[in-house]
Amino acid sequence: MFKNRYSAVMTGTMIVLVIFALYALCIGQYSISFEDLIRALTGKQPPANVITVLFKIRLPRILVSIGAGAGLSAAGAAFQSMFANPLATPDTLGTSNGASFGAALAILLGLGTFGIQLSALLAGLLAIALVFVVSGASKKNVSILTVVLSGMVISSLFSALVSFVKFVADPNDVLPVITYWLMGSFSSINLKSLYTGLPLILIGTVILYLIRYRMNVLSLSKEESISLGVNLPLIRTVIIVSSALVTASVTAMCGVISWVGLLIPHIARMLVGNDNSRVIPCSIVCGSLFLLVIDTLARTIAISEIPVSILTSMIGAPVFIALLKKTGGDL
Amino acid sequence: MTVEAVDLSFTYGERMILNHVSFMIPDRSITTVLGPNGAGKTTLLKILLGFEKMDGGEVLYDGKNLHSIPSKQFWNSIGYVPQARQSIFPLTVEETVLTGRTGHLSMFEKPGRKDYAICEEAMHKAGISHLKNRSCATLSGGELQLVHIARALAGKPRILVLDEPETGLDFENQLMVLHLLQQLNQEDGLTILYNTHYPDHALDFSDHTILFMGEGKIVHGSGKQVLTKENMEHAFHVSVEIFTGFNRHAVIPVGKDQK
Repeated sequence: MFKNRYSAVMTGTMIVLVIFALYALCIGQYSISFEDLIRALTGKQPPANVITVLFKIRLPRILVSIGAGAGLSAAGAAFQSMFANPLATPDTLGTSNGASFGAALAILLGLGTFGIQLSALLAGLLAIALVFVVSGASKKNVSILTVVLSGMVISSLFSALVSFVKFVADPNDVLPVITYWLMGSFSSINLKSLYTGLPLILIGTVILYLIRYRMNVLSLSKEESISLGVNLPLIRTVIIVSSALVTASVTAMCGVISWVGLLIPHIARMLVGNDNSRVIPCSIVCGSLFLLVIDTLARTIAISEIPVSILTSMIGAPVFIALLKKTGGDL
Repeated sequence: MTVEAVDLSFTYGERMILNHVSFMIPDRSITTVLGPNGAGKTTLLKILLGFEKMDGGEVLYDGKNLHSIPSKQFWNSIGYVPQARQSIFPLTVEETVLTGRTGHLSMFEKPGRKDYAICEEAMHKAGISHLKNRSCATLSGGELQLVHIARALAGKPRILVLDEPETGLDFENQLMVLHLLQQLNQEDGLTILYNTHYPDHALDFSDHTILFMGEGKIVHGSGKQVLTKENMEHAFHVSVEIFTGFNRHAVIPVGKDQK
């Protein structure tokens, strides 16, 4: 029926993604019937409150969770290839710690939702700019190890700054807000954050998708990849900047979302092999589905919202263990 | 394509690796580089490929300075085969050979039908077509070496530069690699340059040899001129005997130099 395993996996995942997205649009605190959903989507007139819930609250949130899952997974796969390290994640260079600091600081200063998101985005991008300055990652003849080490230094610097903000924050009202924000949630997504954050995620993801074939050469030694005709400083810069756009805007909108960028690329490799021209698209669809499912659970299984990062770990770990057992760890 | 080194100098810390060295690698020749461990064989290859900055001198390809050739054009005429190493995320044999086309693709491009056909041919030449769908993680050292040669061939180079291509291989695989290099040289007119630890291979499978004599000096010329008993005893600090027969040479270290 399918040309190969890759097209089977891709088609299957995309069908499940569409079906689940429609399902996720219907369920929630205010549940919407399937007829009303179809009426709303085809432009016929459903009840007014259906329109409000659907287009102002639920659809933006679902689009962002899909975009965030896609972007984080693509960035994770790109970083794992570039650093030739299966443990690399989109956070490796400190973007999400930078964004966390920006958000924590904005919460401390009492800024509103949009202020928090903007401050987080800028601080995340500042972190990556610092990594470039410290490591010279865009220059010729820089070893990838220097880039990783610089990233770790910047990352822990911002992590310390986050701790400092938490330390000085009022433990009665401000500190819990920061702590909750850091655990990740899509609950503050609205149309405004959709318009500012989602385009950046999409730009980053599309660029990573377009250069996916070159990533195959990046996990080789420096000399090997240059000899195969890759402009190493350029491609590294493009990957780091695209991944930073994704990670900084995801973190800015939804807080820290762990596990996705690490886990999904490995699942993709188990499904379709190690060729990045398949790993990146497969990570994108699997990551979208995974985070959409997680967020739907986060907002439906309990009366109050459960932080996303708790669920990604609690669900991600067993899924990963099951896959490891099934494939015998043969990644 | 000729490669010419003019007045190269290179020091590694305090140690003189190349002291005003000049030589020429003739077009369509097989050239071998020999010398004791740490003499600078790999460094010399890296200098010739522009990976390592030299202290003085210049490298010319067909008379043009290495650094004046645009990077893309340069790497499309050179196939580089480093010492075989497994990748963290092993690809299949075909996928690996296809990465040899990267330099011919634009930044956003994936290999197309033409690239697949070129890879098919490269795999056929290297005699690894039957391994096409195997993961590189499951290959033996000899097979992996052939895959890396096929990957270099897929870039349609005019020069092939290899770092110790037969090190760590058994007799059969050594001969397989050496015969392949000879065949590529004779049938496709490739200029071939490689490092080796085996004087026998330099004598029987190359036209031209560069031998590191220590203190930054080299001798170069045909294998028979360069790999004499005296030169090898000087370079490797051992006494050697050279035996001939069956159209082959065998160089045997018979004892440590007493000097």
